[in-house]
Amino acid sequence: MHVPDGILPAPLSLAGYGLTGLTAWFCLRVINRSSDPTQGIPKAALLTAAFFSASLIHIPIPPASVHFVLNGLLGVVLGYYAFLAIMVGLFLQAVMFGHGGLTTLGINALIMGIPALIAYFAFHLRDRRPKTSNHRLITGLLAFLAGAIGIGLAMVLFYGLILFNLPSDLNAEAERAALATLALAHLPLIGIEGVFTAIVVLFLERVKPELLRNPWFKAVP
Amino acid sequence: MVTILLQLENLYRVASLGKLALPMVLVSQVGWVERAIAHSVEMQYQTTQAITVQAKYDTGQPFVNAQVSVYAPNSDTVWQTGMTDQKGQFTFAPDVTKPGTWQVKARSAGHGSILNIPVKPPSPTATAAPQPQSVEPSSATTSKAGYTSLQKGVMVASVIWGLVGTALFFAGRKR
Repeated sequence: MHVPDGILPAPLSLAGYGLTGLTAWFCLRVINRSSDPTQGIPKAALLTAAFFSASLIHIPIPPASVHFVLNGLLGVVLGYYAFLAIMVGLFLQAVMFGHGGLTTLGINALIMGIPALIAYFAFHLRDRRPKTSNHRLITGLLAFLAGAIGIGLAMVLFYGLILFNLPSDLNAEAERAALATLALAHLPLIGIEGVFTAIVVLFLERVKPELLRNPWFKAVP
Repeated sequence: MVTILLQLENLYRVASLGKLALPMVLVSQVGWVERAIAHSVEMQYQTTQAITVQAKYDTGQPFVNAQVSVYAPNSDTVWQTGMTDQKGQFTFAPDVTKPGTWQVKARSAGHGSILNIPVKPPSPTATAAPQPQSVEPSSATTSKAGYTSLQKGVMVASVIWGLVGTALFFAGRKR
């Protein structure tokens, strides 16, 4: 999911930085207006660590090997902090291991951060309805959906960006075929991340449900 | 029948860093050896300097069937295109009359990397000597030096420790 340096044209990388700056500013503003802005920092720091190390865990799915992204999980647990956590995680991945690149940091933050925010809104649909007896089932299902949306949407953005920015000196047909193969290899990851997100969320819901609450969505009693 | 001999004099593998690295090996003398002549087909051979590029993922897997574009120094147009083989290798013979920094791009399915290769102008003896002349092997990689698993582990652990420390700091302040 990480776009490396030199793949996309320079204006697009600049636009990526611009949009990421705007989104980060917006997220910081929303956080700053909450009653206690530092409240979410401990869990944001811990999940940044999880996000940072997750990309080093490779799952061999022939013909490629894919890695966890966990942006859906970050969205569900962190809300607006998720975009900032992903930005920091991506920066560390880029400077330490060369995953992605510094010129494409903005683009990568958008590819993974925007789906994380959407996953957050999807998961917190559960707070829009009163608690019923099947609350646990709904929480699990929405968590699965959020995890799947996070990675699924990130994939769509990644492949879309690459596909619409093929340089003219490249054999477009071969590149499209290679992209299709890689996209197919990543499809199982949608299910895996969905299940993983659901497991983590159900676990948190049982042992520390307040971790899944945040200042922006008040649960309907 | 034309046999292409590829002598790898020295293969420096440079450990990779990053999503994809292109350790480059400036290595070989490629010789086209005369084998068969029929119906007045004349064949000659010449030795030339060739560069082998090795592309692999940071997991160590070779970057196979990637599209490679070679750019001559100070040029935006592609000088040569090709594909990496099953070992992730691609060999080309740069035009030594164009010394400078040659650029090799390899990409496939949105992954890829760029490698800069310095090519020196030919020395006077190189053109005069008919026999294969040894070239000084050189190597380069796209990214910083490769890390061992231990180094990677220490880096990951220190980042995680920093983030856990941040978490503890803010969690402690609340109380």
